[in-house]
Amino acid sequence: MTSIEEVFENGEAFMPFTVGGYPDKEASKEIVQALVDNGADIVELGVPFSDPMADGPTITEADMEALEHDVDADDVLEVASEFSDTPIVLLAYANTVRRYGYEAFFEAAEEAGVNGLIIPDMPPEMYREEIGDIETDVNQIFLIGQNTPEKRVEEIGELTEGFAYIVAVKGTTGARSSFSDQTQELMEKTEGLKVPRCIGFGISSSEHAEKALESGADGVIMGSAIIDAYSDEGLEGVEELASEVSETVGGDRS
Amino acid sequence: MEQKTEFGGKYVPELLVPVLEELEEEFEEARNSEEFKQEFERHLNEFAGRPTSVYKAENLSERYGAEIYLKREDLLHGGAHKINNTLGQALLAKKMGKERLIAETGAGQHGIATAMAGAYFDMEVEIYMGRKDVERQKMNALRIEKCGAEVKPVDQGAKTLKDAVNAAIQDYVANSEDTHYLIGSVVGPDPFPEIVRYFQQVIGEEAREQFLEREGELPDALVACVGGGSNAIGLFHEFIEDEEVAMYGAEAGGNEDGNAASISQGEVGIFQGFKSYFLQDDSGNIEEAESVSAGLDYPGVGPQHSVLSEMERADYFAVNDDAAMKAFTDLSETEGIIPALESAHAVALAKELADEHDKILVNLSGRGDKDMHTVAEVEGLDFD
Repeated sequence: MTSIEEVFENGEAFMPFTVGGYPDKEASKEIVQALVDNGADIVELGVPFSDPMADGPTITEADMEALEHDVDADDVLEVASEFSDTPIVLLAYANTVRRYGYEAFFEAAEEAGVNGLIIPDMPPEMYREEIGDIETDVNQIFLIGQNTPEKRVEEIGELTEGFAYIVAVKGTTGARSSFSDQTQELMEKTEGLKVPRCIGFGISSSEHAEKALESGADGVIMGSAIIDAYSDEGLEGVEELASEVSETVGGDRS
Repeated sequence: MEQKTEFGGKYVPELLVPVLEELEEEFEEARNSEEFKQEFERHLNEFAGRPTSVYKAENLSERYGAEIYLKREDLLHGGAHKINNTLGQALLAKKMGKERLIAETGAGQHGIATAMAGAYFDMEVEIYMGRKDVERQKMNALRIEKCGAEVKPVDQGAKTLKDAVNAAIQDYVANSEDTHYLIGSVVGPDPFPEIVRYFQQVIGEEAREQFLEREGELPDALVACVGGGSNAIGLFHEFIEDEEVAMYGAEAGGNEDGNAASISQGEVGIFQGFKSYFLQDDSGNIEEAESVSAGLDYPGVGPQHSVLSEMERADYFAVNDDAAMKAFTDLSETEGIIPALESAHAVALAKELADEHDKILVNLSGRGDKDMHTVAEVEGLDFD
């Protein structure tokens, strides 16, 4: 089983995201398979939650649909466990993980072969308070944004495991039309970090991915665009988008 | 009892952390400034109509079998305690150099109070309101617009209050440079519960002084309705050290379709930036709240109430729709005061407590003109 570390040792990473259990558990496995078959180096799986505060309409609606099919954390872990050759990072909101039981969640995640976890509404200080003492092999991944002050950037850089999630937009997830200058500035601000940096939020095309990599990113995260592709053109749409972007990520840059 | 759980906190996306830290600094500066305090007091007097009276409801007392006093927040501009908070936060936002206010609203009361404060301070205002609420509260949506604010319907999620909060948080993240999120109750991430408490504590400050002057002693018990919990905290705060004064929160017990009684029926969780009691399912997803009174219709409760409950300093009881409606009628008939349905829950709880306590001070958080359509519906009357 590949670890997150190993992925970055071998070059830049394409990390598509989909909501686990969207639109239902079986279809979700098909989507993940399509991503894995078309160049995904790591797959990010969202655990559906009733109130995904950090997510825009696309992912929120996908969450709602999954919840209508009664998808819960165990279902998402089941989806994850079918892909033991690809590193999986889960995205789960604080109450979902808390309700499951922090230790129980980590254990279940480890068993399902999950490599990393992002809790978008649990910044480092809250993480320390809530979960700090619990030992786990699951990498705890933290986010850095445009308005994160320098000292905090350093602290988060030290704390995050696996990679640092660089947030490209000052807002929620959701496809955007352009790649901003502020992201470039943020990449310059985070140059000193000793962990790989992956850019996410608003990356919706291979052009964006190209710009992200040119700015120094070690990985590209793409979520809403994948879900949009699926709802527009089904698995074919996903395959097409994934293969296009993974080619860009895998290609040469001068 | 001691506090074991760390309620509250800042459970927010990273992008919001520096924004909240800045807000905290600005708030600390404001609360320590004599100038700010005096200005706030002036607005409360001139625009909102403070101070409000404490009044002994003789006829209601006779009906209930205890001495019932009412703190008349229903007499404020806008018809409820909400204006205390919106004036305070709008003033704070202005001090911070912000030009735009955003807020969430359920039935519309907080939206209206924010629109009023925005007009008064000449600021741009946008109010997020769940699409479902926009449709069932058309009049309130119109009131908000008439005060110069824009209503932004929210189509995500369940399209109600909690979704309006999510939308407001997202706007705040994107626009914090020129925008202040004027949250409506003692909920949300730190420092919001503290800020809202600060602007509402004038209720208890006045009430304590008024009661002592009038009666020569403190009340035996305080009762207030609890949705998010701002009017209750506003009343309770000044009395917390007065151990002989008991405190009671009336939550919305709803009906057989559901309730909004977060402390009585919920469990500890993390939601919309803070840790507190929430109505949730086994997977930690937040449930829809249900109550005849829209203002109590939030599936959570402010962290300060969770602390008071855990420390057993305050007790929280669910009051169902029927009991609230009965109390609504009691107060209207005996005293000629039509309470907001929210406040009627507190009046109903006071009735329950009449055996245990002699002098009960009830926070009459709002007046009920806004609720007459609901009352007509409940009673099967047809006006349209």
